[in-house]
Amino acid sequence: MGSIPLPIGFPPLALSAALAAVLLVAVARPAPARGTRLLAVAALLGALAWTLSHWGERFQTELLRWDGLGAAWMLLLLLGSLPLALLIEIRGERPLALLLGTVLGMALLATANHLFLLFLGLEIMSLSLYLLVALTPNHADRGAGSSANSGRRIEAAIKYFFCGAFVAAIYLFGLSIYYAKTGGMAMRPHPFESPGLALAVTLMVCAALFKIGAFPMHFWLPDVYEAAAPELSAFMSTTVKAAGILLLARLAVLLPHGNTPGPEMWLPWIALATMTLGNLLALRQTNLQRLLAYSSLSHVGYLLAGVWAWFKSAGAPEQAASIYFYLLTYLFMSMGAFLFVKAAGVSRYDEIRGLSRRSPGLAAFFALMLLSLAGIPPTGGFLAKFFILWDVLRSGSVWLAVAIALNSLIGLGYYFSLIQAAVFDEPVEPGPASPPITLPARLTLWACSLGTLILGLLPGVRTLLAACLER
Amino acid sequence: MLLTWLWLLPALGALAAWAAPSRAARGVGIAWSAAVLAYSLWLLLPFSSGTGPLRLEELSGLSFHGIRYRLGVDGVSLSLCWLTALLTTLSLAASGVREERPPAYWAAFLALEASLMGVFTSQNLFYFYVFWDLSLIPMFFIIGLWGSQGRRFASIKFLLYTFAGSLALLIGIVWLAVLHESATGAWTWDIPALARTPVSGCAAGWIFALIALGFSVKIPLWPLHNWLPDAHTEAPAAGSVLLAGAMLKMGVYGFLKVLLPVFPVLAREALPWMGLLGVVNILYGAVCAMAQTDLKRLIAFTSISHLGFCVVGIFSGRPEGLAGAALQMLNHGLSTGGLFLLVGMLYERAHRRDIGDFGELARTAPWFAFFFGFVLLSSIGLPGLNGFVGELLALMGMAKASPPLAALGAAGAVLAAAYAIPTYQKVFWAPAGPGSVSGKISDMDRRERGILWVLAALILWIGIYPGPLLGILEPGVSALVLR
Repeated sequence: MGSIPLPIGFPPLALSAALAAVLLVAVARPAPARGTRLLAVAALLGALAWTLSHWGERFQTELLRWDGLGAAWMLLLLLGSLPLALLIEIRGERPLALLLGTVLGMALLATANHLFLLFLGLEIMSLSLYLLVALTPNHADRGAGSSANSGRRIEAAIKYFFCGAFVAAIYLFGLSIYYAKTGGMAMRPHPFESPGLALAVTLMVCAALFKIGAFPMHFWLPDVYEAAAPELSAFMSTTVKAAGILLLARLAVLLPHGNTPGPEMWLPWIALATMTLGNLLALRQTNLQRLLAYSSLSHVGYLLAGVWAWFKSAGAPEQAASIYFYLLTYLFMSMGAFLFVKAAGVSRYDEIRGLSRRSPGLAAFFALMLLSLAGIPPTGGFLAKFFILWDVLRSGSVWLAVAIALNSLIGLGYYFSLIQAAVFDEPVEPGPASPPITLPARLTLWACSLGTLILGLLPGVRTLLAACLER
Repeated sequence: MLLTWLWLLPALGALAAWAAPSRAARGVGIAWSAAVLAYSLWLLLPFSSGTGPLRLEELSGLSFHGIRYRLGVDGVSLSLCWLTALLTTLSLAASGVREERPPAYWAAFLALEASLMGVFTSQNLFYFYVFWDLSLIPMFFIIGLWGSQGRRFASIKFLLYTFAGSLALLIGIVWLAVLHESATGAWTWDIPALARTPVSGCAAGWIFALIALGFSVKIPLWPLHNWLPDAHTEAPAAGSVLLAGAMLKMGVYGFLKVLLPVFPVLAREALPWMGLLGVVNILYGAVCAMAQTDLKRLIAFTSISHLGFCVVGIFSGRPEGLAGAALQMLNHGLSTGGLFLLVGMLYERAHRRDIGDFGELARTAPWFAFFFGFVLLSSIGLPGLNGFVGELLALMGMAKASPPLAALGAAGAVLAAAYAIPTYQKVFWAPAGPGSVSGKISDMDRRERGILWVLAALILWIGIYPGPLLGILEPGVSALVLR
């Protein structure tokens, strides 16, 4: 590990610079809203361009590294952050600075080669997120009861913060045991086995599981997704989740392979509990964002089943590609579903009744997102679930495959009940007025529908992804 | 591209009908479905001069872990494509102008046709499943948007029930591919390749059961038939025609062209059980039909009964039985499709479906009486009409494999007369009750008679001279004979 000078434009560096610039611009009063947004978007696009131009390269230093997995995830995380940078409501410079902070944290997660740097990335990401949740207004807040709603948002952010602090402690605890056992914090597989090392890795894996809301550390998630602004929930359910899965993937390298029981022993049960809980609770929801939050939990369950298959295959690129494909598809479909909530100006189940009469285009879009979330061909959602099912069966667990299938069936119940409400039912009088849709929002919705459809038509894409993810 | 057009053409038609202005949508829908019918019939031409069995295939070189685009038809698949195209055309022609969301109506039917064509031509299990699952969505919207009062419940019940079957099928298919890979070291999802190297062992038994479960829900096989009566009753007339006439055939087709070739040994072992289930279907459907007062529900149960003959024929494993099952699929499509069309026409006029609401209908609507009687007789298997040939062949096959089951199945034919004749008598001849609406019903118009004449001609032709059709079907099933 020589000391390679870090290239200019390396995403964490570029994002830090952009963050500093946004804060500097904010000195000017009144802060130029359009200018800061432009700056943030430019920084994200720049990092994206750098990622693409250095696709396939490999290098590492003691602290940082750039490999196939990191590059692929970096692409996903930046893609997922773009819509938020375009759509987030800005009053002052704070939201954009916080957004850049979140992305910076994620970029560190993707490029860290050191367990403490990983922790740093995790915390930068999380702390910015807590504040974003508290500060960004939800479209349902307007009108009566607005102060009550902002109170709910702050409550959710505090809940999120406390749970997050607890998890940070767990991670650090695991890390200190790890340090005591190995005498370092570098991320590399260790040849020896010891219960202490297994415990250390398990604790850190638990922290990653919290970030994606896996059972039994899921209880913060519905509250946060419901109270936050829809575009922020869209970001958290897709991009932050992808970052959490990446953290799992990075920690998987440390897993001692041998007789010590590792996470692959209990991960299927976590997956089962998460998907079942999410699906069953989603059935009874009347608030759309809360419903989508529980649906998001169920998808975490499916993803964890895929992660388990990946662990079992000792990190084969095929299985990593399945997870990546799932996250990529989920980025489009869940983002689309949450952004629909904002675009249609609805928040409760009853308000989408008869939507297809008021705005047929939005209803068709929503139906497409729901079909994909439910896993109906020829959408990307089907292919994603199909790959996970395939991997799980390949790893020899028929019961988990059956559990995924049964859960898909429950999921179908509420996804199609939403379609029924939007397409079959008569409108409620008087229906909520849809706000005008801005150009960036329109573009994002189109990107979501095209992405969902195109990914569904490419069953071969996993093979290509596997080649990219080969470490 | 010959075969790709079979599903691509209706899929493009669905887009065209969707984009068409409300007033033109009906014309686009009917003309397009007629074009698909003509195209599917034209596919027979390249073979009329040749001597070999009907066989068409196309595949793409790209294979991702065995997932590749591969289509193929033989006589059986192609005849089901004809049936699908014919029923789509006829049921669309029978549908009047829609007031409720006109373009979507025609688009949904063409989309359904596209997915059915895909199921009947796919030779790769991945694409087979994609089309299989896809067919649920148009039907969900057809029931839910244009159905009668209970449509909201019926649509979700239909969806969840049949999707449960699909999921069993999905697990079975993926597991099969995984097992096959671990046995041979190569990934394949192609049905012919899977048939060449059969898997065995305990896991194979489970896979057989899962796939059979998936197909059974679709047929539907007792005791998984519960979704069918509701779906049929609430669907619009054209939806019922396609549901019974073409969609239920997916299950039978799956038994015939997926399960039998891939699991010849297990299918042989399953004979007594599946044969018994088939016979139970025949008897149970007939007995339930007797108790119905709603005409659509009654036909739904007769449909369960008739498809029992297909299952009996298939699992007899004898050449006669298999050919009978293949023929019975077409027969059932023609006669049950015809019955649903007729009931739909009655419902459009009377807005009633209860048997008790009619009576003496033959006096005011003689054409209705004629066609209803004709199609009903074909459906219960009167010699000289098509139903007789198919049922006879299926039972002949079963008589060789298991005489007691065949005898029980034959009893079903008697029961069929017991529900059909009294129903016909009550609706068309018996004196009308106080609440009867028969007096207000106008007779069939020219367009409706034309549609039914097409069906009647086919019914009569197959009944009197089934030779050419059997000649097309037989090469498709001869390889499936179980030894």
